[in-house]
Amino acid sequence: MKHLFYLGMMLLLGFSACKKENQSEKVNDETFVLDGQTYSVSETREKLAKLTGVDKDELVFFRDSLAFTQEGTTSFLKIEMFIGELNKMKL
Amino acid sequence: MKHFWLFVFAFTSIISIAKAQNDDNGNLLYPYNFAISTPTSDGKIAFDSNQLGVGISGSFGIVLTELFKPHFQGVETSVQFVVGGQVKKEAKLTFFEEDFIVDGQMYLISKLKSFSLSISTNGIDMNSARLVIKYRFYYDSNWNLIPGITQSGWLPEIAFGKPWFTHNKQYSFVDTFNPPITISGPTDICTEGVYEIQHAGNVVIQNIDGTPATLTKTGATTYKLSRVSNNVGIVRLMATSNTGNTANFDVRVGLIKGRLIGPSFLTSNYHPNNEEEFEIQLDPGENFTITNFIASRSTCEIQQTGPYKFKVRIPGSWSFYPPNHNQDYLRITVLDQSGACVKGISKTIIIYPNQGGGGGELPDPGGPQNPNFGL
Repeated sequence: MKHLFYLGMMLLLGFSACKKENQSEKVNDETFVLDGQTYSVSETREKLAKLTGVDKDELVFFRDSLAFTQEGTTSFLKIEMFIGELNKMKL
Repeated sequence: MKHFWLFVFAFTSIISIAKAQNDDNGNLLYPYNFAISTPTSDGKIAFDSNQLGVGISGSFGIVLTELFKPHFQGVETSVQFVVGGQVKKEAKLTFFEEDFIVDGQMYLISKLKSFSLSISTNGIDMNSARLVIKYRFYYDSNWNLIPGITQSGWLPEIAFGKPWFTHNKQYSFVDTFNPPITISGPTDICTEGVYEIQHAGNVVIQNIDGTPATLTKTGATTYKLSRVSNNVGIVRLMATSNTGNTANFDVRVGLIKGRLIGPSFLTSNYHPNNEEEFEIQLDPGENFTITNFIASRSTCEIQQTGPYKFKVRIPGSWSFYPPNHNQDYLRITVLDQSGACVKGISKTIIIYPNQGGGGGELPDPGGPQNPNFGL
């Protein structure tokens, strides 16, 4: 009986911890949808920064046009153009 | 089968190249994200025509087609400041295979590369000036990517006999020089005055006291005010620039520097108690001799009562103009026509109907009662 109680407590603790982590990820990580696929904004920013050689902190996301701009320039990096290459990249 | 589709793809590419000739359409590679990091206005590169030149910096990258990727050896580019078809300045950049490699893997999109140019704008027709990207790359006929091209060499030279492709996106220029409007000329005029007005797109006048003058443009930056008859008053020159700057300049036309003191309103009552006295107060050192009076309505009577004093009477027969029958305006001008310049001073008085108080309204005599009265 005692063993069963400890097992139950451990399972409860394990499930609640997992649930918390997932919720936190969803709140902190913005996403966008392109061609039916959901992408992480931060991951896309990071990959795009690696591909273009631009500092990721200079890339500003524009949700309406699904593009990034580079601060202080007339840059307009439409994600649609890069997504094929970004999908090949690993961080 | 694989070779068939490769041929179809290559054929489509060459058809596109043949159509495009000098632009990006259908090319095996082309620039992307041609961006400017120096000031722009409405997407145009800003320059100041009051300065001799402008420094321009920016960046762009190159996109490869999947077809060309295995053969890519490099692309030569040139950012050119072109005026009327002539290259005035250029900055050369070359993209190599390493510019497409991230973590050991080659991608179709290169890193962005920066350029900077210092261009002279002095004496240049900047309306026709453009900043463009030209590019060319080596092609080996053994690759068999473009049917019909059997010669190896630089594209587009070997295909079209022209040294460069031209990127579709280009920048034009906009002058952001925004100087303040300056107006110079006399503040007091007798018959006319000439004014120099710099950096104004439009100049009009506003008659803020009477209708003393008209405005004529006599040159690119010169204007003339011409007095209307012997009218006196203040006219305001109002200048507006194309960039939204404004400037005003008041001009006194035929006006003495003194003041005309007296009531600001009279009632239409020919009663002696309704005679109101006006006095001209001159500035020190100023001379003035009353030679005549001018009134905007003939119904009133004016009598000089001293060197600088006069009385005004409004008869009960005063006819109030529509639409407002309860008040009217009378403008009185006192002139000195004894000198070379006819000068004077004016005052506008409001006329109200007599409300029948006091001794009652006297009948309108129909004309001057006193031979000393009148205009």
